Amino acid sequence: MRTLVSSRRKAWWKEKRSDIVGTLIMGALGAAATLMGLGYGVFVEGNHVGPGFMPMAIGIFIFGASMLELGRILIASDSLKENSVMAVVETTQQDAAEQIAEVQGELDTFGRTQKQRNRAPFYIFLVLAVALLLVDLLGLVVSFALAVAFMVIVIERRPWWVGIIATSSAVAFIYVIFKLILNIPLPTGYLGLI
Amino acid sequence: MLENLQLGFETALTTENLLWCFIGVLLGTVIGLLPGLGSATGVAILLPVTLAFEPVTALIMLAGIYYGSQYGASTASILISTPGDSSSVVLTLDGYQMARKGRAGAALALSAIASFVAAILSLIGLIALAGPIAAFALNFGPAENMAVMLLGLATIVSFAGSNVLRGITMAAVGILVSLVGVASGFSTARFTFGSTNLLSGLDFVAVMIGIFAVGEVLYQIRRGGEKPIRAGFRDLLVTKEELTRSVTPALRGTGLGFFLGVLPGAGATLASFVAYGVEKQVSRFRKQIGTGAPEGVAAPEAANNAAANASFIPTLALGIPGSGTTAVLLGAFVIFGLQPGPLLFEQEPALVWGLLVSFFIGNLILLVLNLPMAPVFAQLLRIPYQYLYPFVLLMSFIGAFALGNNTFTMTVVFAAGLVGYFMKRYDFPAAPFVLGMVLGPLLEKSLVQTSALGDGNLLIVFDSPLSAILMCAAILAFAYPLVSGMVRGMRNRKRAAVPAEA
Repeated sequence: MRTLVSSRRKAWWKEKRSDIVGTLIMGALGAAATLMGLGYGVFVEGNHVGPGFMPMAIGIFIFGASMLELGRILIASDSLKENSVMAVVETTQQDAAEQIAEVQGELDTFGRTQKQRNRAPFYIFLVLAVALLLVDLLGLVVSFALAVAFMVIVIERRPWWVGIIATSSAVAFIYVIFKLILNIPLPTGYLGLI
Repeated sequence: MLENLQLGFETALTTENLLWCFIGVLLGTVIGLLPGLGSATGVAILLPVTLAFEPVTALIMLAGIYYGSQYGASTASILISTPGDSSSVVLTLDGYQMARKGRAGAALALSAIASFVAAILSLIGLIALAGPIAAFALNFGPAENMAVMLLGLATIVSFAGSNVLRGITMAAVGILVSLVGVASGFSTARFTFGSTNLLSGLDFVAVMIGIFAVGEVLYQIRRGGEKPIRAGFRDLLVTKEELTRSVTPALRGTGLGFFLGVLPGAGATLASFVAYGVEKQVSRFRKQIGTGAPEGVAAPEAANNAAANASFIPTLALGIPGSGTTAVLLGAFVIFGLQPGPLLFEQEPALVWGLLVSFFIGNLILLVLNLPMAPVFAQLLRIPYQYLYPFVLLMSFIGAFALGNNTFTMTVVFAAGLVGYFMKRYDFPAAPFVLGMVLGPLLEKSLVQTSALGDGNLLIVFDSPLSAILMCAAILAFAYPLVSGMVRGMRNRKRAAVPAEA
């Protein structure tokens, strides 16, 4: 019996975890904004609105809404607005979501599993962060060209020559538009290549 | 009015503007078609490319991307049950079912015709209403402006569905993000944490590129891609019955879409869902809806196009964006040194009327392009996403650099992309956030002005009848979803308790 309750709790936590964590982050953001708003000065001379008024008011608002949302997640059900326009909308949204999910199988057209797809955004963000850090050294075009090549060849596992062609075409397009047509001075970094 | 239209035609029919209108709607169709690249993404990543254009030419092209993508987005929904844009999600129901029954071409043709009819009717409404509303708004003082903006925020909340609280929270977070930097009228730097880069605030367009381009694209990678259903040229012939059955739903969808499009925060997505839901309740063939009925294609498709056009009314006349994409377009106006709002109609009549007239021309081009060419466009769905997304990301970052001419803008894009990805993944709505970001500085400005006018007394917003009515409407719109939610919750708990007691 105890095992059953424990597994139910675990399942509930797994389902609600991201909602609860996200809402708590929002609540913390609201609280921080309120405190910082108080520091900026809510009212100025003559009882007029000061620079801290909006941050404080909005912070209180976010904190309050987050706590209400937390209450909704923990206590209330996700019932639809019966007999309202939004109930019609939500029912249709659910139908569409089911239709899309039905069409989506485990493997997508590129033969990737859901697990592989879940990991891809993380790697791409990492590659973009590294590219941003390399801008000062290699220049904007070179660092992002390397990032594109890495995405195509390593993350998407395309043949290296396909990656080179895709990267060269993309970079040539960008260079013509931004450098030659718009005359944007793209940073060349310490190496001063392009 | 006729003089304005003449001025509009003179502006829109120049060779340069016609060419860029064509390029805009063509790109819009392609962008809308490709999953993960919605209208907001398209406008955000191509905005930097228009920096060298005349403002009117740039805006004609960018607006063309917006309404062009409404046409293209439906193709992906119909053929691969993967919406190209959120406004065409509902087409995955009947549109995709029609395609599975071998009527893919007919579904594409019906969606193009319904889109065109709705676009033309809603444009007549847009042209008839935008000018008078702008003229009326010229009488607004700070109190009325503040009330209008609060009403705008309140409508976002009203249409946030079961996510009312998330809608409110995201709108407020958007306002908070817009407060970063030194506020006009004050010398205090807020939320800068000692960074000099943040003193002038976060670049709105960079944040939009991050949320709509980087965040959306990465979310799409997580979702994966689908194989499209083939649609041939011969299939494009719509039967007389399909056409007859679509007329009334398309007109109903246009009316609903126009009404919802005018309201800030509602937009094309909500309009398409409402139109579909209404058809399910009132149509003579309601039992067939969901199984591949033409009504289920015509009504939502008409609604999302009508709403897309109608959302330009609050954007142009009041400076309050009607949707996420018009918010990005509003950023484009600012980049070109223009401030949308009532004064724009007086100060830049050639630009405003040229832009509005270009919508007619653009929609005509779209019909000519989409009706016979839909199967050709459908081939674009076969472009491997593996090559597409690195290019979109590259365009996003280099474009952001071009906007700000500094590498910090790219850091903003990266951070906003991260936030946008998680917002999408955990179902935090982006539209309220974007509208909050646009309305934040305007709201604060009118708040400070109202405070100065009332010598610290903010209750003067209730002194003028107009601002009092608007404020009461805003309070009602804020309170109604919350109160009705609580009442419903209590009723549900009571209902649940009765069988337990029995």
